[in-house]
This record gives sequence, structure tokens and C-alpha cells, in this order.
Amino acid sequence: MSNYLALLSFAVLGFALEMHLVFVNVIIGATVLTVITRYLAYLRQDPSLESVAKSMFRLMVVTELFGGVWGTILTVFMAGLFPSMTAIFTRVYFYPVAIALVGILVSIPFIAIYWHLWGRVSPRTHSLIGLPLAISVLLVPIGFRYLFAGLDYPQYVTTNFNPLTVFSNPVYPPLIVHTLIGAMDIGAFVIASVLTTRRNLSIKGISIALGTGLILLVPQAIAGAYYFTVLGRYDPYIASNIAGPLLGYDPSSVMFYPAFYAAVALTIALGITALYAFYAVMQGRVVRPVVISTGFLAEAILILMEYVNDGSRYPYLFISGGSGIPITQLLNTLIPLPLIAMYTMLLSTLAFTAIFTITLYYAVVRRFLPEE
Amino acid sequence: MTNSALGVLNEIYVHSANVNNAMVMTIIGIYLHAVFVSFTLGFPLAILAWLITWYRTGDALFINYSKTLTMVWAVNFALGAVTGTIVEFGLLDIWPTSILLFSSSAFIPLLYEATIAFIGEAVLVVLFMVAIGRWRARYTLSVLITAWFLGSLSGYFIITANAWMNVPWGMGEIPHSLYPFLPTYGPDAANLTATLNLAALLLHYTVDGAGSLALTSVNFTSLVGTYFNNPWLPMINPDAIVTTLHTLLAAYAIGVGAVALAISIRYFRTHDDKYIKLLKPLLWILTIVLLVEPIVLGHFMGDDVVTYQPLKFTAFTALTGGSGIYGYEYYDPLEALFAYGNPYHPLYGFQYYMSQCRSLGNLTFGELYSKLDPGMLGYLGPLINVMLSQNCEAAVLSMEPLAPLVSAFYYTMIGAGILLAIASVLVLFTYLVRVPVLSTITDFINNEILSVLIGADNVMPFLASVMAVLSAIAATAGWAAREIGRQPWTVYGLITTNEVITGDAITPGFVAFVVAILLAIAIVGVLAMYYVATRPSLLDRIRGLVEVGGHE
Repeated sequence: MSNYLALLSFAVLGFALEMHLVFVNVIIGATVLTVITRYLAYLRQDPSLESVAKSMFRLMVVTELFGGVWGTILTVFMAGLFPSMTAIFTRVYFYPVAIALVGILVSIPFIAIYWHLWGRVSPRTHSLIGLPLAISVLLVPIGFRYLFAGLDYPQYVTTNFNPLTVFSNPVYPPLIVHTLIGAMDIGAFVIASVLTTRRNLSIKGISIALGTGLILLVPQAIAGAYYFTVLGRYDPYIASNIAGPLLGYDPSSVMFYPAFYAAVALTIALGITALYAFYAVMQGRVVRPVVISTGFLAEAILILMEYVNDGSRYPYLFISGGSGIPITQLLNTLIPLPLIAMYTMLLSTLAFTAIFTITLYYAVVRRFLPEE
Repeated sequence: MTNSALGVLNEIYVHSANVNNAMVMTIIGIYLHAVFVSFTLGFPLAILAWLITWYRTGDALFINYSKTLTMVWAVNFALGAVTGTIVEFGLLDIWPTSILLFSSSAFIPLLYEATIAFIGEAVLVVLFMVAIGRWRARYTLSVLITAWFLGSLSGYFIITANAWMNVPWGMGEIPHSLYPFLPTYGPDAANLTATLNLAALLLHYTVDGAGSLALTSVNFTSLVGTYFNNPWLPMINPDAIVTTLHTLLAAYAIGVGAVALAISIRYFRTHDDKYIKLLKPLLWILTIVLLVEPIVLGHFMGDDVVTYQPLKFTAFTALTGGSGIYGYEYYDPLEALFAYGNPYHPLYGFQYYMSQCRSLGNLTFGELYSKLDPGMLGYLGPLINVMLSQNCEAAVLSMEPLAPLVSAFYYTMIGAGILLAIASVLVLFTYLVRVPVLSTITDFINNEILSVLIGADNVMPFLASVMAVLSAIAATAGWAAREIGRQPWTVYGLITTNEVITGDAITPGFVAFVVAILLAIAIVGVLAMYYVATRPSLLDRIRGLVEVGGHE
């Protein structure tokens, strides 16, 4: 029963994380691309480019609310199911969490200011306001990804623990590079997909989004390889579960490497699809199903890769080298965890996710935010 | 009390610098969230009142204003969600022992809040924006009412978590054993050994620097064990039920009151009769809520405090009880009448509680743990020779200096509540229903006294404005009295505030930074709501875009 509860809790946490990431990657990507596109529009005095930037920003605003909802759910799951892990996060990673929180706090007024002042101040000033907006949004993953790095290379509490030492985590640099490039890549492909659903197609917007997505696939692949190399050095257990026998490893579980290779295959498919879509757009044609599929493929790759990245530590949470601290040890035993409550929560989130999707369709695809 | 015992107990009961600094930003953050949430809960009721009036009269004024308010509601919901995230992280990061609540008594409420109420409300708020004025009345109203219900349900779940901190239902006799003046808190669902384990760990780390560090041990849950056997019990905590009703009605009053205030201000400026038309349906809600909330539910809230939080009740009466509250017992006929139904019933002063503490005798923590939980003796440290009676007295003494402040908030709430009830009666019997004698009296006050002072046309919007402002004052003061009155504990009779704070230094600079950001969010939030509220055609412009911009 204890093992089942641990697995269920681990899965529930993973589910909330995946849902959260589906949205936040779009938020991060769309924000950065908005700010860059808006700046280019100012430099080139190009109103159509500015219109593309506005479309990107609208997508970001709609996604922000849903991303926040899932962030709340994820946090409650984390604290409720794994209290000590959460306490370690808030103690050991106090500064990284503070960085992420500052990012959230600062980004909110800047989103409102950026939206409100668009067209009301000079394009140069508006472009400049985009800088702190983009930085604040990037601070969120920059801070929170330390927690993930901390799961892979734990720096535990000691009496004289210095919380600044967490910044020297060797797993963090490749992880954050991989994350940020990935977020922008996913954001670019989702923007391309959404722009393609419009009646008045913006060829320029779609080509920018697709082109950005395509270009970023290359550094993203390099960052992925770099991250895997570092994992291989510090977390052979995870590396083994990810790579599986195909790369000569002896994984402890068959649950993850098939997903990893599936994600790699989807990445290749995304590259080919995006290349074809981009070529067609350059010819002045938008092949709607193909462009739309890039957004879905990008999100599917994210879900699979994150599943592999986080799930492959099972049955451990904090992992170091070949072993770690088991989930069962960190699982909440302060109360008898009621299974019926867990199932109700899962059912409820699934039901609302379905309604979510329909609402998102109306909010994003049917352009539920004003253009002016 | 020996110096060493005093020093140890100060670590537990006297707020540390970290606690004092952290409280500033936490209070501002929670109040900011509460304001937005109150609007989120109240606005749908105002929209509902206008929509029903529109369906009944066909007057386009009501649908137009419903649409405008819907946009304000949506912006407000987003602000509530954002500030809620800040509060949540504030709890986890700045008050990490609260993780203990997330994983025990508040497990079910908080998880259901997130996965049923909050997510559902988020979806339905957006869905309502799609539906209003376009779908059939029954569908539109169903979406609105469901969104409002889920928002209220969210309030119930959150307040349930908070209520357990005020009345730890299910802990049975345990708090009473440590503080004999406390009552029994519901059925005995706590495991004594596990609770003692938990207490020893928290005390150990608090004396050592920060109680919250106890949770950072990877062996924490196994060291404690299952300390609370029935996670469903907090859902039926009597304080949760009363506080939920009281707080939700207060939130409705603040939300609807804010709309009424805005409409009244517009009327004062323009004297356009359409604002009076808009005001009337809102007054129905405000009046009913404000008659039930302070009079009926306020009384039950008071009963809860008398029954479950005796120290808080004594603190409440500091301003009327005078120095008597520091003695053994004193007399306050009005408070005694409401508290005990007998004006001659004595009220208990802090000395009474001290004498109750002394009934614990000379038993030390060391002796207690030797008998009941010897495995945790090693964690007691300097506390091992401290007597339980000294611990109990330190708790009472720590409350004494706060009593006048708590009382000031309490009587501010009471005063505002009385004025609210009067204003509600004046509105009800003059403008909403006609009742012989009562209407004559209220007509006289409104038409012969207030009219002369402020002008006949202004009386109704004036009363609406008074109800709005006083609702906010009463709620602010009432919540402050409830939360400050909970000191020195975060969980009444179980966990002190010092046991909850982070071990990381909360510097004044950090507090100033967070407060500045919170104020920026408040200002931007208000401006955003004003911006949307002053653009009546915003939702229709969106509709236009949707019609033009759909699929081919």
C-alpha cells in the first residue's frame, strides 16, 4: 500500500507539473519573442511586425492565467504530499525560490504596463519596457530550475549550511540552458500554430515564428546532449534510465527510455515538419495542418522529455550518483492519505482540463482578447 | 521562573525579529489578496442582480453594465489568482512550518480548493465572458452562479484551513493538557505520541534557531509518524462553518459594496437617475447580507471565541474591561450578556488563566517525555527542566501586551457592524419594502434628518456608500482581531508563531522590497480595474473581433 501510495503521489505530482509546464513554456517563449519582435518592429518601422508582436503577447496573456492555476495546484500537491521535500526546497533553495518569486511579482505589473502603454508611448520607450518584462519572466524558470537541479545534485541542510552554495550546483547550467532554449522553441512553434488558425493569415508572423523555432532546434539539441553528459557524470542512475540499452546502459526500469526515444523521434519529425512548413511559407503558402502540427509536436516533446527527466529518478526523489532518498521516505505520513481524495482530485482536474481546453480554444483560437 | 527557563520560553513565545519583519509583508500580502478575493466573490452577485433585472425588464442599461462589470470581474479574478500565488509562496517560503498544515489538517481542504474550486472558477469566469448576453438566460445564469458557487467553495476550503489554526478540531484533550484553560477540541483524532514527537522536534529547532528546520530532515515524517488520524475532521470544524459563512458574507458585502460605491460616486457627480436604477438591485443584496452577517453570524463567531479561544476573548474586552482583564475576574455586563446570556456572569482575566496554568504543578517537560515519549527526550535540550506550568504562563503573559490592540480592532468591528445594521435598516424599510411603523421611522430619519443634511436625492447613494465603506472597515478590523488574537500561537494551543518562521534572515531591506512590489501590484490592479470599468463597450468590441476573426 505504501509503495502504491508513493507511486500515486509521485504520478499526481508529475501530472500537475506537466500541465503547468505546457502553459509556462508558452508564457516564457511568447514573452521573449514578443519583446524581440516588438523591438525589431521599432527598428525597421514595420507595423505588420508590430502586429505579429501583439498577437504573440495576446497568447502570452491568455496562457498566463492558466499557467498560474496549474502552478498553484502543483505547489499544493508538493507541500501536501511531500512535506519534507518542500521544506528542503524552501530552506536550501530559499534564494532561488526568492528569485523566482521576484520574477513573478515584478512580471505582473510589467505585463499590465507593457499592454497598457502599447501605442501610448514612443515605440523606443515601449521596447525598453519590454526588457525588464522579459527578464522578470525569465527569472521564474531561472529560480525554480534550481529545485530540479537540487533533486539531481542535492545540497542538504546542515547546521551551518550556507544557502548561497546552491548556486554552484553543476547540474544547473546545462539544465537551465536546455530549459530556456526549449521554452522559446516551444513558444515559437505554438505561436506559429495559433497564428495559422486565424482567418487573416499573417505570413510574416508565421514565418518569424517557424523560423525561430527551426533555428532554436539546433542549439536545443546541443544543450540536450550537454545536459545528458552532465547527468551521466553526476547521476548515472538517471542517465541509465533515460538512455537505456540502446546506448549500452543497464536501466533499472523500462518505463522511461522508450519515452525518451519517442521524444527524439518526435523531435526529428518536428524538424522535418517545421522545415517543410517554413519552406511553404517562404513560397507564400501556409499549409495549415502542417504548421498547426508543429505546436502540438513541440508540446508533446516537452511532455515526454519532462516525464523522462523527472520520472527516471523513480523510486527516488533526491538522487545522487547511483541511489538516493526514496519517495516512500519523503512521502507524507502525518495523516493517513485518503485514496478517495486523491482519486477525486485526479478526476476533477481531468474534467476541468477538458473544459479548460475548450475554453482555451475560445480564448486563444477565437481571439478572445481585444486587438486594440 | 529561572533565567534559563525564561530564556528558553522567550525563544518560543516572544516574537523574534524575523517574525516581526516577516509579519509586515505577510499582513500586507494577505490583505491585498483578501481585497481582490472579496471583489471576486461580490462582483458576480452584482452582475447576477443586474442580469435578473435585465431579463425581467428588458432595460439595456442592466446588460450593458453587467458586461462592463464582467470585464472588471475577470481582471479582478486574475489579480486574486496572482496575489493568491504570492500568499501561498509567502506561507511556504517565509513560514515553512505551514507546510505541516498543508500535509495534515489542511491537506483535504487545500487540495480540493486547488483541484475543484479554483480551477473550476477560473474556467467558468472565462466561459461566462463568452456567454453573457449571448446564451439563453438559464445557461448564462447557470455559468455565473456556478462560478460564484465555486468561488465561495474555494473560500470555504481556505477558511477551513485557517479555522483549524484557530480551533484545532480533532486534537481533543491535547491542548487542554498543556494549557488547562483551553477546552477540548472535538473528538480525539490525534495520536498522542506522534503529537509529542512533533512538539519536541519543533521546540528543539525553535530553541536552536528556527522551528521550521525540523521539517527539512528527510526523516521528519518517520520521526513524527501519523499524528492526525482523521484528515476529514477539519471540514466539519464548527469554527470553519461559522467563519466561512461570516467571512463569505463579509466578502459579498465588500464586493457588492464596492460596485455600489462606484455607482453612488457616479451619481453624486452626474445626478443621472440611471445610477439610482442600477443601485436598487444591489441594495437588496447589501441589505440582506449586512443584516444577517453582523447580527446573526457575528454572534455565532463571538460564541466560538468564548468557547474555544478564551485568551482571545479576554483580549477582546481590554478596552471595556480596563485593568480588570489583568486580574482574576471582572465584570462587563454587555459582553457577559452576549457571551454567557447572563450580564452578571464574571469574565476571566489573565490571572485566572495563570492560576489554571499553576494547576499543572511542578511537572517538567523532561518528566512528561520520560513517561510518555522517552524516545524524544534528546530533542528537548534546555527545555527538559522547564515546567509545563511555566510554559503555560509564558503563553498567557505573551498575550497580555497585545490585548489593547486586539480590543481596539474588535470594537472597531463592533462599532462598524452596529452602524452597518442601522444603515441597512434605513435602506430596507424606506427604499426596498414598506412595513407599517418601521417605514415611518426610517422615512423620518431619511427624509427629515439626512435629507436636510445631505440633500434628498443623495440619501440612498449616501447610505449605499456608508454600507460599502463600513463593510470594508468592519472586515479589516474583524480579521485583524481574529488573527492577532490568535497569538502567541499559529495553531491555537499547539504551535507558536516562532515555531513557524523561516531560518533565513528576513531583513528590513527585503521586507521593503516585497512591500514595494505588493503596493505596485495594488496600484496597477486598481488602475487596471478602473481602466476596464470606464470602457463600457470593451466586451462588445471583443465580441466584434470574434465575429470577424473566426475560422474560415
